[in-house]
Amino acid sequence: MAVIEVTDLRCAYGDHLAVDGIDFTVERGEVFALLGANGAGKTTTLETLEGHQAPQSGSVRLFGHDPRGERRTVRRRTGVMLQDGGFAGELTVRETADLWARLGTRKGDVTSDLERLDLQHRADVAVEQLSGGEKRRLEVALAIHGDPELLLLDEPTTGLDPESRRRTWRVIAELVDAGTTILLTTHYLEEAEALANQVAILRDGKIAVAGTLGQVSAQLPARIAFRTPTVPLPPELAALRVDSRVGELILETPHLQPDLARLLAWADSHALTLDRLHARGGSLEDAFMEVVA
Amino acid sequence: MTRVAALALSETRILTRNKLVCATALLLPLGLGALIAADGEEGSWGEVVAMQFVFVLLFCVYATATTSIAARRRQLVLKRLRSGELSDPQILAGLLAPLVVLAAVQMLVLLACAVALGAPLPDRPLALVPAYLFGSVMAASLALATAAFTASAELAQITVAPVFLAALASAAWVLSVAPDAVTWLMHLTPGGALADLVRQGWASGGALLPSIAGLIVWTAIGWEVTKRRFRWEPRR
Repeated sequence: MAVIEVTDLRCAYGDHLAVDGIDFTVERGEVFALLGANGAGKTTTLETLEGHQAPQSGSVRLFGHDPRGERRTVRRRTGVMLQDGGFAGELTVRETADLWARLGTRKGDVTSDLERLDLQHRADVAVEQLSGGEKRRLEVALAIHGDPELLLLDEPTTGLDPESRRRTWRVIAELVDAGTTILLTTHYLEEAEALANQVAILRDGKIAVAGTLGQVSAQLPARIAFRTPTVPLPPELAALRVDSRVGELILETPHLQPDLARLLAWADSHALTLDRLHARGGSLEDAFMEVVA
Repeated sequence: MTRVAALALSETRILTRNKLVCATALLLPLGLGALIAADGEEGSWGEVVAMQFVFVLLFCVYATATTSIAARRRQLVLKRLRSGELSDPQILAGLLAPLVVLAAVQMLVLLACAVALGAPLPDRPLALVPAYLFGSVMAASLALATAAFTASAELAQITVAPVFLAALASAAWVLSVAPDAVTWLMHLTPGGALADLVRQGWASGGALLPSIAGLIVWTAIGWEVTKRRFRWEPRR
């Protein structure tokens, strides 16, 4: 049984359809990243999975249960990180973490949670005095308490400095190694590439592209770029040309290896050096830009 | 129960660290209660203590609960709590329990002060128990209903005013007439029902049920509004 099952989910705010008939499943141990521009429907989808929103139609199931109607059953096995806030500023970091631990049934060491997110030295500081990044790390610390079977993370590293982001990624990777299933939303494509093995890119409330990172990337052509040569390209390569910046040619091809070989052979035959030559397969960034553009 | 107690303890900690809330919940009702007691005289102590109870429940439970629930919602604390394992009634119980307990302590302090100033001990002390229990639940229920229309802690200063004034006026109305002249309409006002029930502690033989019924009606009204309109997170 899949850990998360979303079937024909629709969510609306008044007349605005925020999520428009999406389907996906997340299997045990997978990391699933929901991507998309602002307003694409990521957070609405996540909040429906968290039970904060009622679907207009369709269904969501976590461990086979309705997260809204069977909240307690689902929550015991789920760690949730909200997109924003949720702390009483008057409490210290430790008091907040202690309270959260006491409100749940998952066993775990609060001190260890704070250490994992490098917050132990801020344990006695009031939450209202934390920086934005520290509050995000505290959110993560609360969500991972007791190593839940499922983690729902809404933009887990937004506002973090690069070091804190990598630390958070390491913590998430450790949980994945231990078998935790994760669904996250993020604006950072490198975060999805570093953590996720399944992605879905949302646009206007619909899933525009979905699959493994490899599948999503493979749907787009590879790119070869180099400084504009002094000799015109042969017709079969010139036909691949899609773009040129100042002094640079960009070719797109679904067959990177043979076309790159053909280009190099042509350059050899004309004794040309292709300055600034680089070639790469389709990337998540390309897929994302293709969807949101 | 342990989890509700943990939440209540945490909420108490927050209340004690917020000077404005502390003043509203602790000092204001005690101060006003003391002022009222200073006017006490032979034969009027039932009315004095009744007005003290009304003040305590209005300030300590009703106004403070409305303010703190609106603030917690604004801070997304309510949403965060709903992301955990507590049920909705457990969350509300944990948030409101400290105020209800604080109200009991304040009532006992004011009662002790009144006795020290010359008030006789109540003839029917058990009448004060339902007054506290049903009065607290009514104040909490009306606070949740009012919080449904209160976007922020600052706005609570305004949104609590109608119920606050209605309860004070109706309490004064009931206490201005003799216990045997209280009408069913007076029993159906939030402050009137509470004030008359407390006053019955110093009267002999008056019926308690009409006042209790009035408090239950207002509790039900508050709960119904809460069910229909209460939001756990700010409007988008």
